[in-house]
Amino acid sequence: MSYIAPFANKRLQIAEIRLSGSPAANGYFTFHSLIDDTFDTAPTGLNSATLTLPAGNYIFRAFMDITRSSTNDNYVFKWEAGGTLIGVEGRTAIADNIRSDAAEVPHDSTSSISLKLKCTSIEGSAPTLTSESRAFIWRVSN
Amino acid sequence: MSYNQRTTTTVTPFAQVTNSSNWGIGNTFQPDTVSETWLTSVTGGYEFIGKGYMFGFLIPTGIAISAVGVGDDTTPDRYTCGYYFYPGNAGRAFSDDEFVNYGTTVRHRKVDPYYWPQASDQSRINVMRVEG
Repeated sequence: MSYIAPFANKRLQIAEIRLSGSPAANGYFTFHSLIDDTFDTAPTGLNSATLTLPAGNYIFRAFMDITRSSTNDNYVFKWEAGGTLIGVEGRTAIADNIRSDAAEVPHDSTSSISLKLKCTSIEGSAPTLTSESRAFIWRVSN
Repeated sequence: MSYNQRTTTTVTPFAQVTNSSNWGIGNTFQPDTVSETWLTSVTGGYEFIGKGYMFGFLIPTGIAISAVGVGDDTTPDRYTCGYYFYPGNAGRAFSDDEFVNYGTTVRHRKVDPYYWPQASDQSRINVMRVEG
Protein backbone atom coordinates (compact mmCIF):
# COMPACT_ATOMS: atom_id res chain seq x y z
CA MET A 1 0.00 0.00 0.00
CA SER A 2 1.30 3.41 -0.86
CA TYR A 3 0.69 6.63 0.95
CA ILE A 4 0.48 9.99 -0.75
CA ALA A 5 1.03 12.87 1.63
CA PRO A 6 -1.98 15.15 1.45
CA PHE A 7 -0.04 18.25 2.36
CA ALA A 8 2.87 18.67 0.04
CA ASN A 9 5.53 21.05 1.24
CA LYS A 10 5.97 24.06 -0.93
CA ARG A 11 8.76 26.57 -0.73
CA LEU A 12 7.93 30.17 -1.50
CA GLN A 13 10.55 31.50 -3.88
CA ILE A 14 11.40 34.89 -5.36
CA ALA A 15 13.58 36.28 -8.12
CA GLU A 16 14.53 39.94 -8.46
CA ILE A 17 15.46 40.98 -11.98
CA ARG A 18 16.69 44.30 -13.28
CA LEU A 19 14.71 45.61 -16.24
CA SER A 20 16.16 47.70 -19.05
CA GLY A 21 15.47 48.72 -22.63
CA SER A 22 13.78 51.53 -24.49
CA PRO A 23 10.96 49.89 -26.40
CA ALA A 24 8.55 51.65 -28.70
CA ALA A 25 4.85 51.04 -28.25
CA ASN A 26 4.11 47.31 -28.61
CA GLY A 27 7.79 46.52 -28.08
CA TYR A 28 9.30 44.64 -25.15
CA PHE A 29 11.49 45.47 -22.20
CA THR A 30 14.68 43.54 -21.53
CA PHE A 31 15.23 41.25 -18.57
CA HIS A 32 18.65 42.77 -18.02
CA SER A 33 20.18 40.77 -15.19
CA LEU A 34 19.37 38.68 -12.17
CA ILE A 35 19.82 40.64 -8.95
CA ASP A 36 19.07 37.70 -6.68
CA ASP A 37 16.86 34.65 -6.51
CA THR A 38 15.83 31.71 -4.36
CA PHE A 39 14.37 29.67 -7.24
CA ASP A 40 14.92 25.92 -7.42
CA THR A 41 16.32 26.63 -10.88
CA ALA A 42 17.23 30.19 -11.82
CA PRO A 43 15.28 31.68 -14.75
CA THR A 44 17.01 31.73 -18.12
CA GLY A 45 16.85 34.26 -20.92
CA LEU A 46 18.51 37.14 -19.11
CA ASN A 47 19.72 40.02 -21.25
CA SER A 48 16.87 39.34 -23.65
CA ALA A 49 13.17 40.14 -23.94
CA THR A 50 12.03 36.59 -23.18
CA LEU A 51 12.46 34.97 -19.82
CA THR A 52 11.99 31.23 -19.57
CA LEU A 53 10.59 29.93 -16.32
CA PRO A 54 9.97 26.37 -15.18
CA ALA A 55 6.44 25.09 -14.55
CA GLY A 56 4.91 26.43 -11.39
CA ASN A 57 2.52 28.80 -9.72
CA TYR A 58 3.62 32.41 -10.04
CA ILE A 59 2.79 36.00 -9.43
CA PHE A 60 4.61 38.48 -11.64
CA ARG A 61 5.21 42.10 -10.64
CA ALA A 62 7.03 44.83 -12.59
CA PHE A 63 7.97 48.34 -11.51
CA MET A 64 9.72 51.01 -13.58
CA ASP A 65 12.04 53.70 -12.31
CA ILE A 66 12.54 56.36 -14.96
CA THR A 67 13.92 59.71 -15.91
CA ARG A 68 12.08 61.83 -18.42
CA SER A 69 12.56 64.98 -20.43
CA SER A 70 8.92 66.00 -20.15
CA THR A 71 6.48 65.56 -17.29
CA ASN A 72 4.12 63.64 -19.51
CA ASP A 73 6.60 61.05 -20.78
CA ASN A 74 5.41 57.69 -19.49
CA TYR A 75 5.30 53.99 -20.23
CA VAL A 76 2.26 51.73 -19.85
CA PHE A 77 3.24 48.07 -19.62
CA LYS A 78 1.76 44.63 -19.14
CA TRP A 79 2.94 41.04 -18.73
CA GLU A 80 2.73 38.57 -21.61
CA ALA A 81 2.95 34.78 -21.20
CA GLY A 82 3.02 32.43 -24.16
CA GLY A 83 2.11 35.27 -26.50
CA THR A 84 -0.98 36.38 -24.54
CA LEU A 85 -1.26 39.57 -22.56
CA ILE A 86 -2.24 38.80 -18.97
CA GLY A 87 -3.12 40.66 -15.81
CA VAL A 88 -3.47 44.34 -15.06
CA GLU A 89 -1.22 47.06 -16.37
CA GLY A 90 1.46 49.16 -14.77
CA ARG A 91 2.24 52.79 -15.50
CA THR A 92 5.19 55.00 -14.80
CA ALA A 93 4.12 57.86 -12.57
CA ILE A 94 0.83 59.23 -13.81
CA ALA A 95 0.50 58.20 -17.44
CA ASP A 96 -2.55 59.82 -19.01
CA ASN A 97 -3.55 61.04 -15.53
CA ILE A 98 -3.91 57.48 -14.23
CA ARG A 99 -1.52 55.97 -11.74
CA SER A 100 -1.08 52.23 -11.28
CA ASP A 101 2.67 51.72 -10.70
CA ALA A 102 2.97 47.95 -11.08
CA ALA A 103 1.98 45.44 -13.74
CA GLU A 104 0.76 42.42 -11.81
CA VAL A 105 -0.72 39.01 -12.47
CA PRO A 106 -0.83 35.52 -10.96
CA HIS A 107 -0.08 32.80 -13.49
CA ASP A 108 0.01 28.99 -13.36
CA SER A 109 1.54 26.55 -15.79
CA THR A 110 2.35 22.85 -15.82
CA SER A 111 4.96 23.46 -18.52
CA SER A 112 7.72 26.02 -18.97
CA ILE A 113 6.68 29.64 -19.45
CA SER A 114 7.89 32.17 -22.03
CA LEU A 115 7.48 35.46 -20.23
CA LYS A 116 7.72 38.95 -21.69
CA LEU A 117 7.00 42.45 -20.45
CA LYS A 118 5.31 44.49 -23.15
CA CYS A 119 5.15 48.24 -23.58
CA THR A 120 1.49 48.58 -24.45
CA SER A 121 1.59 52.34 -24.98
CA ILE A 122 3.68 55.47 -24.49
CA GLU A 123 2.43 58.82 -23.33
CA GLY A 124 4.45 61.63 -24.91
CA SER A 125 7.96 60.41 -25.61
CA ALA A 126 9.50 57.27 -24.16
CA PRO A 127 11.12 57.90 -20.79
CA THR A 128 14.48 56.35 -19.88
CA LEU A 129 14.64 53.45 -17.46
CA THR A 130 17.14 53.74 -14.63
CA SER A 131 19.07 50.80 -13.25
CA GLU A 132 16.49 50.55 -10.44
CA SER A 133 13.67 49.18 -12.61
CA ARG A 134 12.66 45.76 -11.38
CA ALA A 135 10.65 42.63 -11.95
CA PHE A 136 9.78 40.58 -8.87
CA ILE A 137 8.68 37.04 -9.61
CA TRP A 138 7.19 34.99 -6.78
CA ARG A 139 6.92 31.23 -7.26
CA VAL A 140 5.99 27.92 -5.75
CA SER A 141 6.44 24.65 -7.59
CA ASN A 142 3.30 22.89 -8.75
CA MET B 1 10.02 31.38 4.36
CA SER B 2 8.24 28.16 3.54
CA TYR B 3 4.81 27.62 2.18
CA ASN B 4 2.94 24.58 3.46
CA GLN B 5 0.17 23.79 1.05
CA ARG B 6 -2.87 22.20 2.62
CA THR B 7 -4.92 21.47 -0.45
CA THR B 8 -4.13 19.78 -3.73
CA THR B 9 -0.73 20.28 -5.25
CA THR B 10 -2.18 22.08 -8.24
CA VAL B 11 -3.68 24.94 -6.26
CA THR B 12 -1.69 28.14 -6.39
CA PRO B 13 -1.19 30.33 -3.32
CA PHE B 14 -1.32 33.44 -5.53
CA ALA B 15 -4.62 35.11 -6.38
CA GLN B 16 -5.87 38.33 -7.86
CA VAL B 17 -9.20 40.14 -7.61
CA THR B 18 -10.19 42.48 -10.42
CA ASN B 19 -13.32 43.84 -12.04
CA SER B 20 -14.26 43.55 -15.69
CA SER B 21 -15.21 47.21 -15.89
CA ASN B 22 -14.57 50.30 -13.81
CA TRP B 23 -15.06 49.68 -10.11
CA GLY B 24 -18.25 50.99 -8.53
CA ILE B 25 -18.83 53.20 -5.57
CA GLY B 26 -19.70 52.29 -2.02
CA ASN B 27 -19.06 49.94 0.84
CA THR B 28 -20.81 46.93 -0.68
CA PHE B 29 -19.26 47.01 -4.12
CA GLN B 30 -17.77 43.64 -4.97
CA PRO B 31 -15.32 43.12 -7.84
CA ASP B 32 -16.63 40.47 -10.23
CA THR B 33 -13.47 38.52 -11.05
CA VAL B 34 -11.44 36.37 -8.69
CA SER B 35 -8.72 34.06 -9.96
CA GLU B 36 -8.94 31.34 -7.29
CA THR B 37 -11.89 29.54 -5.73
CA TRP B 38 -10.27 29.52 -2.30
CA LEU B 39 -11.11 33.20 -2.10
CA THR B 40 -14.78 33.14 -1.19
CA SER B 41 -17.38 35.83 -1.47
CA VAL B 42 -18.35 38.05 1.46
CA THR B 43 -20.34 41.25 1.37
CA GLY B 44 -18.21 43.86 -0.28
CA GLY B 45 -15.26 41.66 -1.01
CA TYR B 46 -13.57 38.28 -0.68
CA GLU B 47 -11.85 36.37 2.06
CA PHE B 48 -10.12 33.23 3.07
CA ILE B 49 -9.46 32.03 6.59
CA GLY B 50 -5.77 31.57 7.07
CA LYS B 51 -2.55 33.53 7.08
CA GLY B 52 -1.84 35.62 4.08
CA TYR B 53 -0.43 38.81 2.64
CA MET B 54 -2.61 41.13 0.61
CA PHE B 55 -1.54 44.08 -1.47
CA GLY B 56 -2.82 46.10 -4.35
CA PHE B 57 -3.85 49.37 -5.87
CA LEU B 58 -7.10 51.09 -6.63
CA ILE B 59 -6.69 53.37 -9.58
CA PRO B 60 -8.89 56.48 -9.81
CA THR B 61 -10.19 57.57 -13.16
CA GLY B 62 -10.80 61.07 -11.89
CA ILE B 63 -10.39 63.22 -8.82
CA ALA B 64 -10.55 60.86 -5.86
CA ILE B 65 -9.53 60.41 -2.27
CA SER B 66 -10.37 57.10 -0.74
CA ALA B 67 -9.13 54.11 1.19
CA VAL B 68 -9.44 50.36 1.20
CA GLY B 69 -10.67 48.48 4.23
CA VAL B 70 -8.83 45.21 4.72
CA GLY B 71 -8.23 42.52 7.26
CA ASP B 72 -11.32 42.82 9.42
CA ASP B 73 -15.06 42.39 9.39
CA THR B 74 -17.76 45.01 8.99
CA THR B 75 -15.54 47.78 10.30
CA PRO B 76 -12.23 47.01 8.70
CA ASP B 77 -9.00 48.83 9.24
CA ARG B 78 -8.56 51.77 6.97
CA TYR B 79 -5.06 51.68 5.70
CA THR B 80 -3.42 54.96 4.91
CA CYS B 81 -1.31 53.06 2.41
CA GLY B 82 -4.56 52.52 0.58
CA TYR B 83 -5.29 56.16 0.00
CA TYR B 84 -5.21 57.09 -3.58
CA PHE B 85 -5.78 60.35 -5.26
CA TYR B 86 -5.92 62.31 -8.41
CA PRO B 87 -3.13 64.79 -7.85
CA GLY B 88 -4.84 67.74 -9.46
CA ASN B 89 -7.10 68.11 -6.45
CA ALA B 90 -5.42 66.42 -3.51
CA GLY B 91 -6.65 68.27 -0.46
CA ARG B 92 -5.94 65.53 2.03
CA ALA B 93 -2.80 63.95 3.35
CA PHE B 94 -1.81 60.84 1.51
CA SER B 95 0.91 58.24 1.50
CA ASP B 96 2.02 55.55 -0.84
CA ASP B 97 -0.82 54.24 -2.94
CA GLU B 98 -0.27 50.55 -2.34
CA PHE B 99 -2.33 49.05 0.46
CA VAL B 100 -0.97 46.06 2.32
CA ASN B 101 -2.21 43.74 5.02
CA TYR B 102 -0.96 40.60 6.70
CA GLY B 103 -3.07 38.58 9.09
CA THR B 104 -4.79 35.37 10.01
CA THR B 105 -8.06 36.19 8.29
CA VAL B 106 -7.29 37.85 5.01
CA ARG B 107 -10.29 39.74 3.86
CA HIS B 108 -11.02 42.60 1.59
CA ARG B 109 -14.36 43.78 2.78
CA LYS B 110 -14.93 47.39 2.18
CA VAL B 111 -13.95 50.28 -0.01
CA ASP B 112 -14.26 53.41 2.04
CA PRO B 113 -14.78 56.47 -0.13
CA TYR B 114 -14.20 60.04 0.87
CA TYR B 115 -14.64 61.23 -2.63
CA TRP B 116 -14.81 58.54 -5.24
CA PRO B 117 -15.80 59.04 -8.82
CA GLN B 118 -14.75 55.63 -10.09
CA ALA B 119 -11.76 53.32 -10.18
CA SER B 120 -10.24 51.88 -13.31
CA ASP B 121 -10.69 48.27 -14.44
CA GLN B 122 -6.93 47.98 -13.96
CA SER B 123 -7.40 48.19 -10.18
CA ARG B 124 -6.37 45.03 -8.39
CA ILE B 125 -6.15 43.22 -5.08
CA ASN B 126 -3.47 40.54 -4.86
CA VAL B 127 -3.32 37.80 -2.25
CA MET B 128 -0.42 35.56 -1.31
CA ARG B 129 -1.65 32.69 0.85
CA VAL B 130 0.95 31.69 3.41
CA GLU B 131 -0.03 28.78 5.62
CA GLY B 132 2.15 27.07 8.09
